[in-house]
Amino acid sequence: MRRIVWVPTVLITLAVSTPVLASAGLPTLARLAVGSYQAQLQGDSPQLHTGTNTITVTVPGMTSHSELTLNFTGPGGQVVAVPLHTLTVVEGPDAGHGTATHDDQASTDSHTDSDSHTDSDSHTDSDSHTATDSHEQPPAAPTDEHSHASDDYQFRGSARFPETGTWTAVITIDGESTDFPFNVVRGGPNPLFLGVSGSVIGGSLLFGILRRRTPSSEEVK
Amino acid sequence: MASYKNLLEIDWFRAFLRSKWFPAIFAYPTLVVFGYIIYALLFGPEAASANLGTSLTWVLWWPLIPIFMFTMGRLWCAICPFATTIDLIQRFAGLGRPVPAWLKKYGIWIIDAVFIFITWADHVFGIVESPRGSGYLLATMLMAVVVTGVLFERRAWCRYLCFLGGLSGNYSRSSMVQLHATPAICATCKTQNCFKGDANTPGCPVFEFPRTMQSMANCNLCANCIKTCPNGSIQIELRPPTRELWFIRRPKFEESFLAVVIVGIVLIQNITMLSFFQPVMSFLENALFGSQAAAFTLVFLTAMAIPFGMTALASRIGGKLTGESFAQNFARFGYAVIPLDLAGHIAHNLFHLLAEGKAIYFNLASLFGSHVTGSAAFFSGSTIQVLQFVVLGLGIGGSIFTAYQIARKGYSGSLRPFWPHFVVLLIFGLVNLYLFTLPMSHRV
Repeated sequence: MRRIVWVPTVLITLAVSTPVLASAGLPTLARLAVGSYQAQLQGDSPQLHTGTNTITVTVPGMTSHSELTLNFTGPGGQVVAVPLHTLTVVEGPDAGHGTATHDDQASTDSHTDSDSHTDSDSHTDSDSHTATDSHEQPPAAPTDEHSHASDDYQFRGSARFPETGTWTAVITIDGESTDFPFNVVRGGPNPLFLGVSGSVIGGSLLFGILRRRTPSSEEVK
Repeated sequence: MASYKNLLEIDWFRAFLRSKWFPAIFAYPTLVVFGYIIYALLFGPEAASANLGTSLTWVLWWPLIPIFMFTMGRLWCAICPFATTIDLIQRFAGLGRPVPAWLKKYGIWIIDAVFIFITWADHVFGIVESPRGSGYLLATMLMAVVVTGVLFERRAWCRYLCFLGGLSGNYSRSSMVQLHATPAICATCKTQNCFKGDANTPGCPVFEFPRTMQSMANCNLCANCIKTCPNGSIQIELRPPTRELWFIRRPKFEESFLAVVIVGIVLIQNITMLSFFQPVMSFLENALFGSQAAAFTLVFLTAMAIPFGMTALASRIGGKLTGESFAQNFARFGYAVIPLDLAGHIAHNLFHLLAEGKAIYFNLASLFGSHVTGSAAFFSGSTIQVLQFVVLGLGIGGSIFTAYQIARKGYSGSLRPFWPHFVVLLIFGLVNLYLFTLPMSHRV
């Protein structure tokens, strides 16, 4: 009986202080007004991080003649251009049972704060970003192919951020720009976890190898 | 074991299993893919839908596992990257110590506890939905695999500690395939190579002795015994699914306990989607210092306790009818739940495989610079639901039939102990059917 009581006690004690990390779908990074368009930026992680990020841009109602570019300016003034490609949309059956398409089920809950920046008219001054033109400007995303069954255009590209800090995204559609600051955090797993697991694995192997080479060891096979 | 057609009489099949290529031709590529998966989970995108490691693990591998178990027993365990890792490190760092007696005795309880803990942790920490969480889980298991692989002989991890091994062991009992030795041939054997191994091939990695093996719970179908037996005693046969469950000679309470706990796990997977769940959670959260995790833990333990309590009640009644103790009756009839567990597991994951399967293609394409998105479903929701109900129907039928056979074989034809378990299994089945009518959450 005592053992049975221990199980719920331990689980509840552990649970009291634990955060819930669950999330699903592509996280929305920001929703921005660019001229007459509303652009949604989605990342492959809840926050932009050092290393490679895949960024998806969705622009409802964009015309096929429009041109779209996306750049990031780093804390040191460095510019990372995001070469955007049209996203090919594979049509499929209704998945039902709680249906969503692969990218449409964005977990916006944790980032709804970005909604407050939707009407960021104050950032549409494109003059302040002319400096970026001289750097590696990505080719404008081609829009001749309608990328979505609805009136949304979707583009995707990869950006590699070399350092943490505040990076400013500059999104331009048909010459009209909007910028938006992002905090780029350190990517990858917890260093402590990596260190501990690496030490345990490496230490065990080393122990085994050395022990086998010890002549007096009786465990050698 | 009853005898059926021996598949090893097929020349090419026997030659393949006896060759050095089996199971290495599957095991080493699997190890490479596993290495990439760990890398992708730990260092790749943090959004599950963008991480190929998550897609390969939870949308492809996890749904296929119970199907493999049903059709091919524990063959997966023969090519599992953890098993291959153990084999590799034992070549240069293994100490080959005997497995401690306490581990042999309590291993299945450790498996039960770890299985419950991981399921709980998945809900609290979001392991499946978080690539990092999945990565930490796999890397932690890898740590334990390396430590046990260095310290202990053979695949002690697989036999005594792997929580998936415990699940697989139960599922494999109801599988369509069996391996056993031919008693008449073994009676004259003096080498016992199947257990000890020979100069070219190690002995059974999971400490089984085919001559006396009565169950497919631990056999990995690695074919070591086929390679080492000098007398051709080993047979592999197709058998009626669930048949092994009818004749378990020494039923174990802890194995039955795991089978019943899985019913609770299916329950908790779905109960969170019921409309009354949120108000109950809110009430519990307020009562438990505002901790959502603590509130969930209470719900989780309750969901585990309900099927256990119901089966225990049926066992108490059944025991009174037959003169057995509660524990004896529970151990005997707990195995009857396994077909329903297996069907529930397959049915649940059919949704993930068939409604999210294209996510694997999307993420794989992304790895090679191609940008594709859209509906991740192969089939419509209604088609998948029909398939789920068919699988579940077979599972319910299989469980009830198994309980019937256990009663018929174990009590000299008396069906009295069958009826309490029939009622409980029917309730489990109906609850499962209802739960599969509810909306399900995507993993990616």
